[in-house]
Amino acid sequence: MVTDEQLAARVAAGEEAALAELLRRHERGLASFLHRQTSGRDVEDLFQETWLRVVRNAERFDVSRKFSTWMFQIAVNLCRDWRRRRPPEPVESGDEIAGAGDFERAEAAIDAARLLSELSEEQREVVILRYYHDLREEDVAEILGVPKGTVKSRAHNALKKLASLAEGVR
Amino acid sequence: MSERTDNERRAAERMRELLRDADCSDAAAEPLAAALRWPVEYECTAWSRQVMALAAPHLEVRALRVWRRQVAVLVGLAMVALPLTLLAGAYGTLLLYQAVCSLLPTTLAMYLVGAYAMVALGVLGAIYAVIPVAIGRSHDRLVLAQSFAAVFNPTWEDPE
Repeated sequence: MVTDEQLAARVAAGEEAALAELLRRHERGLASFLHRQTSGRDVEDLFQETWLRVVRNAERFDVSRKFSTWMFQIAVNLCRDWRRRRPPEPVESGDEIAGAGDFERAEAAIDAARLLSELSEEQREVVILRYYHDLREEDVAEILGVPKGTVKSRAHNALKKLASLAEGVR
Repeated sequence: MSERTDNERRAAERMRELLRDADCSDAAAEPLAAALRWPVEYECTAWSRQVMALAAPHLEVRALRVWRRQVAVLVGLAMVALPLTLLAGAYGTLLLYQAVCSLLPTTLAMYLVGAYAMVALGVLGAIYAVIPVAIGRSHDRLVLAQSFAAVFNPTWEDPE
């Protein structure tokens, strides 16, 4: 099977089929990451911009690195820019959450979004990447451009805060 | 066990692992995982199609650049080999001329070998001219195949 990194190299050579395959493999993961980062706002725009940056910068991608790490790095930077541009808005209602079919799921999503919104930007990024995307500490450190120890301490502080908040939610 | 319960169990397990990594107690794992349950399921096919459309011009430019680079490398390599080819050809013609001279009058031998040399030079020139044309045709065929595949068979994969 062709690896993501080989596909990225083929995208750098202008192969459309390679981009289609990368999209197929990572579209859902990226969309849910963006949704959690922005509480569901401007996900489509950020999704497109992330992929266009992947295409534009594919020539500079180092194939010895993991493609998903690189892609999340781009997405994280875009989300940071997005947050700087946009004033904070209240968390969305349950109806706006794509795919949240029933009331209970929508409630759960609102609870989670509220909890995460209590965290600082840095802590939220770590929790989303570690918890929802199940990435290793090394990968999270590379994506965020910080040492592994910083990821650990951010996760530590974030989880302590979340644990105390979760008691309240319950 | 239902799928949701299974997901919840996995989420709690992951939270337990994270709490351990963060030196926190296991006690908070279950409530925290339950509170962080955030189902997000996007249908991204339309977005991906839009990305493909937006990326198409970039990819085309990239493919053209790669093709030009390939042509330049191949023509460059062929040019490097050209003096050696010409030298070998000239030496061969000289040997042929000497052999023909021993059998035929000099004027006739010069005419025959001269005609042969002109034809050989023409063939060599044609071979060199064909290199970029052949690469160009293979590139056009690839682009055509990709376009057809994208239109008629969305699940098409490069045979490579």
